[in-house]
Amino acid sequence: MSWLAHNLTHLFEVALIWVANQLIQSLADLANTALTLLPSMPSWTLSIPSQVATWYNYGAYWFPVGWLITNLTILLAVWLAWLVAAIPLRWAKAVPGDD
Amino acid sequence: MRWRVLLFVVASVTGVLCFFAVGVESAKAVTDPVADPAYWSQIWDRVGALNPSGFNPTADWTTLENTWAADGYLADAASAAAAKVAIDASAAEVTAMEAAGSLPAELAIDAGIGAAGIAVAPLAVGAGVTLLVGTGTGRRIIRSVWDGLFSAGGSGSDGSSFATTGRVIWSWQTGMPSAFSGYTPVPTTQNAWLANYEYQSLTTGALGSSSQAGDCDVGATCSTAYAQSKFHLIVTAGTHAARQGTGTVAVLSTYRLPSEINRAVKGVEAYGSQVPDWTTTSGGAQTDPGSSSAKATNVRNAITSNPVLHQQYNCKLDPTDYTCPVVAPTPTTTPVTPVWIPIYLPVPLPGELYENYLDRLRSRTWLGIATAVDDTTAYPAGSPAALLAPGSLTSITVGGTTVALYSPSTGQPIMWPNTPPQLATQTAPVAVKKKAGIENPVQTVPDVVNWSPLEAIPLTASTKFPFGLPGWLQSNFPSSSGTCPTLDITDPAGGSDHHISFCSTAWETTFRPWVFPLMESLITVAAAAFLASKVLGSRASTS
Repeated sequence: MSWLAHNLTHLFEVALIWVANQLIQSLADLANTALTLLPSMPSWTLSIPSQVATWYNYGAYWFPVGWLITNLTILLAVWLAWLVAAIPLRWAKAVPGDD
Repeated sequence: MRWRVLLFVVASVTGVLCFFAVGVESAKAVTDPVADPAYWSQIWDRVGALNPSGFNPTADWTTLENTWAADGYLADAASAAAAKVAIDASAAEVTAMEAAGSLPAELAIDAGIGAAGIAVAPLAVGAGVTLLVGTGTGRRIIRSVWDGLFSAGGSGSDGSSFATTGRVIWSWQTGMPSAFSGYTPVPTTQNAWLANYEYQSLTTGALGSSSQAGDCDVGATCSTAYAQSKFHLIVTAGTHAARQGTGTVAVLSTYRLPSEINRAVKGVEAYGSQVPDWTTTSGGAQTDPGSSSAKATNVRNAITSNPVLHQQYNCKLDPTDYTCPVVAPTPTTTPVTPVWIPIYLPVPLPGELYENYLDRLRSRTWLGIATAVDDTTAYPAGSPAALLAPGSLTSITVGGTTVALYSPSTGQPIMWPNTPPQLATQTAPVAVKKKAGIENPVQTVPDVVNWSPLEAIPLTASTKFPFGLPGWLQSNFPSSSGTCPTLDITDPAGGSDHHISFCSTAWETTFRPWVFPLMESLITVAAAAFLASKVLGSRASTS
């Protein structure tokens, strides 16, 4: 009997985990689907002149230039993402609209 | 709200100003990216050593370039490594290499060749040189050269050598070996490293006491300025290229200073690619020719645009203080065949399923075949064995030895033996018995929350706009570790350049370690506040 009770408990636990995994997978699929609609980043890279690179490093000696660039670009990326995400959210009344 | 906007504005304006300054300054010409004035000072010193009476930026740069291009230093990395091995070789090893024909044609051998060949001890400044040459069959001295370091005041053959090759190498014959016979001085034209005379056909006798008091003409008074000159003696057992004899050639280098022995090991060169030794200088520090010299600019660009070349030139200038290129060693390890070490069967866990137990064996690299059959034993009702879940392990058989986990008569567990059977080989078969019945199917269902689909999203997002923008932008910029700024100002009147350094040790060690994190925190807070104002602000404005 104890074996049966143990297995029933285990079955219930596994069922909950299965549901959680399905939910996680669904969210991931939704996100990946949205990502596929976005344009890919370019494969080429900028050709930074050596003199610019030199002065870039000079600037980084006195100021966290790299940190500033990273933060500004992250801010820009998140802001743009918010502007796009806000469109369906306004339609769904999840966030207030401008009107 | 205002303070958050203010923080962001301050950080942004600072950053923009910084970039503006970078952009403006980058438009200015920077002719010397090597921010080490001492490095270039050494360059000018070496150039000046070529012509102490009057430094000519154009002509002397040509000489320097020719010298460095001709000395074969870069191409000699491999041969130098081989020669170093040869230096460490014993006389027997050298003899064996000779017999096998594997001894390099030009080989530097230190005094270690011993009584069979040559024995020379490091000499003190001003001391004489005594060479003992073995009497082995066919060994001959074909050339002996005094290779000085600087001989601007030389004359005769020295001057012609200098003019021919552009090398600053003092070349002079040693004192005549009185005990030799059968040699004939022959002026040579293939003086890639300025052998003015070759002594060939030395077939008899031994080199007796040959005294040379310094790096100067025979009989003259030598000064300590030439203390680091070298003596090269080439001993051959036969032909070397177009030279005389057949077989191998050994180059013996002796140095008057013990420290130069180390230099010889580091800088040994093949015959014909002698590296000038810039250990003597003359005339003091030279003036930077500056960007007005096209030759100087060419050399600067050649060195600074090639990190490897830069490092090699550093080594050439000062092999002690600068890091020399590292020659990758040849791997000498041989593959080792794995050996299976017999393992004892591990103790099964209470109620462990046979599949899990076999997985544990395989995790220990066991690769054998497993056979699982149902246990048909009629264990007493209510006993532990009778209550086992289907698939539970009840006995294991390895190598003809069976270990039962439960007593057939009582159904109680049996103590695991002190000396359980072994898996003697990696593929030893294993037979197990398991409790009959349908195994619990839930065992095959993952029983942990799987976050990996969500964890993979950032990786995917990093390849898409706009989420990939930070990474893409970072990949376009060099390391942001920062470089100590140096401002180069060229004298429009043609004078020497001025190098103004903005380095600050106090900034690097005391202030920057806490100022930078503070700045970064302010930037982050400002960015977050700005973003929050945009996201939440719209709600606030409409609510």
